[in-house]
Amino acid sequence: MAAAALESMKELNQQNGLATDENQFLTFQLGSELYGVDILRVQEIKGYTAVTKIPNTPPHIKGVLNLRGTIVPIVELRTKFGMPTIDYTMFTVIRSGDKLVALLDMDRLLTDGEMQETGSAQAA
Amino acid sequence: MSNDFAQFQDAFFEEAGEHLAVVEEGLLALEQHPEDLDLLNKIFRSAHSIKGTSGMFGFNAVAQFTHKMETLLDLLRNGQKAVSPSIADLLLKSTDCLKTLIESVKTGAAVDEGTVQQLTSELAAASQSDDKPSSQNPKATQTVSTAGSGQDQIYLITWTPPEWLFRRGLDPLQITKELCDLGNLTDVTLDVSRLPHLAEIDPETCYLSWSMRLTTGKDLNVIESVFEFVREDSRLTIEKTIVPGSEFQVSSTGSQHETRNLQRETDDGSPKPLGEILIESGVVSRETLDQALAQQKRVGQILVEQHAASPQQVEQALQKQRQQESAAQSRKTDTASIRVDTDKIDKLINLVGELVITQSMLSDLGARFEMSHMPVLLERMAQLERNTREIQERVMSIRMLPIGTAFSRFPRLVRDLSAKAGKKIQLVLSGEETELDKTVIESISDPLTHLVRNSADHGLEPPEERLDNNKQETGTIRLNAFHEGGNICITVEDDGRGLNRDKILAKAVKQGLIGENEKLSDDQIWLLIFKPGFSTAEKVTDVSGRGVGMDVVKRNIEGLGGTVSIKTRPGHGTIFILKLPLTLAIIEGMTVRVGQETYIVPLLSILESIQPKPGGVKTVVGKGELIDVRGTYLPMVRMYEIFALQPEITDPTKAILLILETEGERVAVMVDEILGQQQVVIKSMEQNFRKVEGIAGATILGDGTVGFILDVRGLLEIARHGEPVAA
Repeated sequence: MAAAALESMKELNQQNGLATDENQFLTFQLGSELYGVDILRVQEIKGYTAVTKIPNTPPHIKGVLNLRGTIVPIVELRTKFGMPTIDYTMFTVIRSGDKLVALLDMDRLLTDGEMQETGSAQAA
Repeated sequence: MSNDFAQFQDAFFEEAGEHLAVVEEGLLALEQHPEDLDLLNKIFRSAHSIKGTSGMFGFNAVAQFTHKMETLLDLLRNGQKAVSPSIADLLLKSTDCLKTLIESVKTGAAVDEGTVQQLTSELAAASQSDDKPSSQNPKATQTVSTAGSGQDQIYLITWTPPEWLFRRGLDPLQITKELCDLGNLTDVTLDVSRLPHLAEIDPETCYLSWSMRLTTGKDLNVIESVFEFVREDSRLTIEKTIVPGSEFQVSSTGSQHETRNLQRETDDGSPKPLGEILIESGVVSRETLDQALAQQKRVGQILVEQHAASPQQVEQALQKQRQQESAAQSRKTDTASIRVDTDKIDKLINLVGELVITQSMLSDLGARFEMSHMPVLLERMAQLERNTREIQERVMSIRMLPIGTAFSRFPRLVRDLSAKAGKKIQLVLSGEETELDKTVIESISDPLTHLVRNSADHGLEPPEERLDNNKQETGTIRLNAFHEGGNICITVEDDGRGLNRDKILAKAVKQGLIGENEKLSDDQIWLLIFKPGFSTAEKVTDVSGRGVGMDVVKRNIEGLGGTVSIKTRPGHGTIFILKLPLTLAIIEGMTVRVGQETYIVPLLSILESIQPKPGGVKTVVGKGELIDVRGTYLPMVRMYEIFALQPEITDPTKAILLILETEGERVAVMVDEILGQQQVVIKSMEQNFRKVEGIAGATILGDGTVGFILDVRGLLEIARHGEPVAA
């Protein structure tokens, strides 16, 4: 399952002319699913800080945070994908076009080893 | 290597842009006084620079075209042709064409070859048709033609040759011979006072000096040229004796003028007047020049004498000229870079140094902090605050530019508009030196252009109508900028027909902008012209009249946090007043709390804060709530409602109501508590997100979290329409 997700991600990136086979991803789990973000898009991973809510925005827009003087909106993927929310410990700030977005769900980043395991387990 | 070249190319485009601006400005000024040779020279130099550099980069199309312009300019400069309106017009058109040519080289955009060809041939034709200079321009030719025909003058020459004179095989006799050729050389005296004792004499050293009197019709430069080869290290004075035949007493106080003292030093490399150049190159003598200059009258004087213009009109024109000149001076050609005074940067560096010191003192203190150090800590914190504030002020001042940058394009615009509309328009600029944030200047250019166009097209009447109404034929558009409080005001004023109340009302009713029987105050009526699609012009021209523009003006100015207001008197004119914040980056704000959230309200829009009396709040069906403030009913907005927050207080009589004003309209906003007042740095929401209804921007609060700045205008809209767009 996870491997399939990775594969389709690769494919997607290849279609966008972004990726080669050698692409690296920052992978994380949402619920039982494995997701990945092209590592080159990841600007930084930041510990959880206070969030300011933006009025009159959809629920998955959690608010904004102060990233060294820049205002960055926060997207809560779990809400967006209709999953139950949890307590978060970090933001992953990624770059999309010329804009920055903080994702609020990468509560558990997987190590390489775990990746292999999950990958092979799923493959098997 | 190619990168380097590209870098030079950028420099070329920047420079060419500057030169083009000089040419255009010069040509505009030249129309006002066609006989100004300084101006012509300036234009010529700039055109020449463009030609030279473009040739160097291989931009042949540009170089060839500029060459054609230059040929014509050269003829004008030499006085072989007079500057006529048609020529000035042709040159202006050519400048535009040159602009597009350069632009095409830069961006690779296509050029209208037809226009280029046509202008090229027009330029060639203008350069060839050999019409003699009209009487408009006699001075230039006169200056040249009288060259060398000066009367006999007596010069007193003292010359102390350099010591190396003999060593280089030069002969002082040769000099005196040449002087004899020039005229009548008399009273040649040899000064041997410097001759040492015979035993000490160096046979190859020149110890001699001469004084002599030369009567000649030739001018100073010719005499000086005789000394050309020995001038270096020479002590040479050539003085004109004032009364021919008088004694030698024309005592030169310094007695040893260097030759170059004879030429007037021009300071800081500004171009020398034509006369000076002519003297230097030996074409005319100073006397001839002075005579010619004495004959030269100002155009204004000539026109008055010929009864072509009244003294008042001339005075007006002069005023305009002065203003244009001052505009030209304060102008800075501006691209993406800012030129900063080194002084400002030096001060900034000093301040940063201080900041670093304060920081290290603080960290030192922090490393071994005890409670007994508290007073020291507080003192250093105060110092840090002082440093920060000073740096902030300095940095902001770097971003400040004179508004003349935005004004400088208007002389040309008005000229073209006046030609197109067949109206006589004069433009008066003032307050160009008023400094304004660079971003603001860039963003007000377009709105200002709209307003000026509008004034020229709608505001000012045609000449006949003006004369019928006992007004001067020439309409005036005034652009003024000045500071007022924390704002900058820019006014666009015309002395035209003014806004027509009834016409606007009728039109607005017709277009369904207002109801038939709606009662509106004058100010509200004037604001109608900012509605999209509104135009009272009977005919649509390519300048304006389509009703697009005024709404853009309003939107742009409001986007900058500014306001537009109108004052008008029927028959006397209209003034548009733009009020803009000095800078976009920092505002003075009041922090307020609603539930758990902190918001910032721009201080400038707060009129007062009140706590309403019980019964002061009225509900109007379908229109929300109103609040009675000393007899006036204002719409009331509950912050927690429109922003969907959990408030602490829901009873207006226990909460705080901020009375906010924007563009003369008021709204009461209900918050839980006022926290305090502070300067906030505005951060863009749009940079990473999008615009949010009711929020003008964000800022970082003291605790590092993000706070939102309220958009008063947006709140007013929400109050008017009841519910926010997205609930």
